[in-house]
Amino acid sequence: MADRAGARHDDRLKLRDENEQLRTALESALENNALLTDDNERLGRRIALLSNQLKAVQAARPSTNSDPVVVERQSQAEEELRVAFEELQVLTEELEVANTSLHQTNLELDARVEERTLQIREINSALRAAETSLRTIANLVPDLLWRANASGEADWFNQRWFEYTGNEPRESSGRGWIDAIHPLDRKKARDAWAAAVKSGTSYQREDLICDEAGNYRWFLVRAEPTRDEHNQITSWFAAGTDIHEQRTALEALRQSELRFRTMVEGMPQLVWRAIDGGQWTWCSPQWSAFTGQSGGASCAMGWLDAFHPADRPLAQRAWAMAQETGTLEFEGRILQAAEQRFRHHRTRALPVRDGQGRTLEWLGTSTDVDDIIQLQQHQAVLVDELQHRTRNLMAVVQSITTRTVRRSSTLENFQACIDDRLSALARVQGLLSRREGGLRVPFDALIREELSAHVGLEKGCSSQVTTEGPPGVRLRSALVQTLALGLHELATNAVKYGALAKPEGHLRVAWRVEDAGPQEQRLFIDWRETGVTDLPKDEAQPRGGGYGRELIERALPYQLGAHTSYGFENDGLHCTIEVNVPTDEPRLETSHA
Amino acid sequence: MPDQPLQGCRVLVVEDEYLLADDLTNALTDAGAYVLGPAGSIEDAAALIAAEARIDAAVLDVNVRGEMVFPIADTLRDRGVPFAFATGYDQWALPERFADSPRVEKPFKGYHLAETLRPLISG
Repeated sequence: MADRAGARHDDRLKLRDENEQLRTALESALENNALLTDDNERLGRRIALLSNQLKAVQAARPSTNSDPVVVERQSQAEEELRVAFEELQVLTEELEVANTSLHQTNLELDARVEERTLQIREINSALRAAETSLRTIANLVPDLLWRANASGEADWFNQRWFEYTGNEPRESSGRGWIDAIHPLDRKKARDAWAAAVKSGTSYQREDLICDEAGNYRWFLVRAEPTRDEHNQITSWFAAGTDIHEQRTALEALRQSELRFRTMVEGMPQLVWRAIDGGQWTWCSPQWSAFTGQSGGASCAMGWLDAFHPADRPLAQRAWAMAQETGTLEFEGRILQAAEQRFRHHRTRALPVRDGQGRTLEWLGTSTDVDDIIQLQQHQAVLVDELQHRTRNLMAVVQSITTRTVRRSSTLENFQACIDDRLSALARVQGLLSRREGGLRVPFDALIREELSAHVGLEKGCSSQVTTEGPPGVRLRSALVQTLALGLHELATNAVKYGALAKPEGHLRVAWRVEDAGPQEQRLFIDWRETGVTDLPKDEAQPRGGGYGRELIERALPYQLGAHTSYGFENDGLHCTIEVNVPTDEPRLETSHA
Repeated sequence: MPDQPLQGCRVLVVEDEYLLADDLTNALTDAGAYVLGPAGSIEDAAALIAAEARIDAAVLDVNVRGEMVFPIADTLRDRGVPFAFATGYDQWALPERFADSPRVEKPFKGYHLAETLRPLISG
């Protein structure tokens, strides 16, 4: 475009030169003509004068030419006239020639002027057409276009600019157009424009440009300088292309990818991508962190190496089936690099399909289910344990019932006795089930709960009862039930026949612990009744039916390796129990542990 | 069924719960058996087995003071001694190798115990 404009410029200059030459030629021809006309007129006037003189001479002469003087003068005048005529004739001829030449020149001039005028008109019309189409194009394109002079001051904008920005021409002109850019980027844009104008290099920025309603849209703004034949910048042309949709779509895509990556990298699952047949193309950082396998090493079928050798065929079969079923699912052990331990993982994947339903790739996760599997196993053990305990408890109830029946004389007697024992059993079940976080039952809680069932206690004591010993001595659960039943029988007997049967009697339960090897302590329990006068005469015929004594003397040693003694001092029963207790707290105590 | 179906049989009892061990002992004695034990721990049971030249049958609690009784069961099987489990556990809680072993479920009946053991004992 610049070349064509330059060519037109040259044409114009040439036309102007030619016109100038024509004008000079015409002027000199006219001047020449005027000179010739002057000469002609002068000669004409002289001829007229000479002719008048000649007529006067002829009129004054007599009919005959007698006077020689007159004849002389006449011939002289005639001679002059003839010369003047000849001169006039020459001049007239010259004039005619000059006129003819002038006429010719004028004709030529007219023709050339006409020709040039036509050319100029054509060129002007072409120029106008070009400008019109340029303007039309400038207003037709969706881009914002503007032009600035060599100093970077804008002096022309296309219609789109005004329509989009809602600006008035005076607002935008100069560097006013920069004010349409978002305030946060305005200074940067201004500096960049100034730098481009100063260095004469291309300008390019992506900026938010404000529309008429005050909304901002992303534009790619580019500007290029135009230069003259001396390489001097004559102007700048700038174009702003709306890239809002692309930019926001790209931004949204970036955001979406960022969210995806954040999610993938944040989730505990190991995430990966694969193409048909299980050829991995990518794995999340978690996979690498877990397996110690680099992204590259996991690609293709490399991931298979992280699986337990025994589970690899399963994984491969799952992939073979996945092609048909459209889902991949299997369980297999994956090696945790840090601990060199295989952990169970549930691996799943779904195909990512295109619009035509073709599988583009597979997106998969491997979820650590090792803890769940262990918990499930643990739960199974607990359920098992619960059943075992319940059945055992039922067997114990059955056994107690049988014994109570055997030792009861009447149904009323049985009723009272069995109620008592079942209550004691219920209390100890309560103690066991109330244990928080699987903690063991402390002895002080057990003894006070049992004694409280028989007498009112305050802080473990009453006027007739003293309990003394360190708190928090924790008992093995296996010990609790039998010990509680034994203590229950002792307390029942004390209330019925011993220290608590009469106001003068007193019961003191004291205990202490001694170290007894690693994580073991020996618990010494001392049950001493005093102030009892009517002691049984025959120890072989115990008044409580001997059930309590059986539990103390036989059940505790049998079941718990306890050392016990049971006997009467002169003022009441003295019973001792020694049994080992653990010092550690189990995390979750089961009989399987 | 004779009154004493286990007449003259030497039956080992392994059971940690005193009351149940006592009941088992009584039931077996009532059935005419001579009770070896009862043993309240795996250790005691192992010692008893080692010491006794003749054991005709055994009744084993599965969980003895937190230990599983299966090593004792294996020893008995090696010696050709038949046994039954006295247990509150379901069948599936037993290892597969004992799937066919008879069980006496708790709480048990004395006659049921004798009925279960009698067919196991040869001669």
